[in-house]
Amino acid sequence: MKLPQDTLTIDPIAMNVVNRVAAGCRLVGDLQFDGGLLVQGEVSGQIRVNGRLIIWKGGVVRGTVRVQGDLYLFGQLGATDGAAQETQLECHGMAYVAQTGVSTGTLMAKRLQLYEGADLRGPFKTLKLGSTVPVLHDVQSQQPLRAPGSRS
Amino acid sequence: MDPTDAFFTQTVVGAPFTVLLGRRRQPGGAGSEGLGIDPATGEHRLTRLWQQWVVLSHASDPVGTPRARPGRLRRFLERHALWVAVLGLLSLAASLLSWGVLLWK
Repeated sequence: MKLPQDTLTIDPIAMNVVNRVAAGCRLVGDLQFDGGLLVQGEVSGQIRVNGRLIIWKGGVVRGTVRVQGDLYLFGQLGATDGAAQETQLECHGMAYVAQTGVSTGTLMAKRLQLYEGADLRGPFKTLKLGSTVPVLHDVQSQQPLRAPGSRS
Repeated sequence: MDPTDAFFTQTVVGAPFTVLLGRRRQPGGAGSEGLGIDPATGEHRLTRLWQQWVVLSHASDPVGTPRARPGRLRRFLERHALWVAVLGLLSLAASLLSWGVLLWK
């Protein structure tokens, strides 16, 4: 028995996808996005997304990527002929790799949902629960440390 | 998100749209489907698959969660819902008219 196909309704406002890299655009460098990101162009470097990441058909993401929400892969993760170590994506939610999705990099996620036709060429690693605890420098960068007993 | 943010988000990122993900590689859950009743509280609700089939509005669905694509017949009916309604009203009117004519004679 054939399983039914799945659809996904992308509602940018409800999903808080407030950033978009349009087709034809290329962003390189140390990038941080507050809120979700829709990639239709090309993004590479050290990328941090505080929300959901949607890599659209034709969109390419390369480098070291950290996603706090879910990942929806319709396009390409990693360079076409690149090594798996060149692109590493850490997803703290669920990773959906659609039938058009291609991943040549290392994909790390808490949970993975693969669809028929998805091309997973690089390795997949499961993130453990403990990895969600923020490391010290993350906490320091967000709020200054305060001495115990001190008043604000 | 305030109205201004919502306006710019919709302008820049786009309006809501539905995209096809494909067929799942692994089978779905082995649990039974139908009407689920909690024996402790007596609350009852339809399971996920039934809810997707029965419920017409997906406004209250969890955000960013895939759902099963409706079948061919349902897609056809949804696409032509207005014509189906018009056809139904016309048939009702025709049957009322024929009954009226029969009774009048």
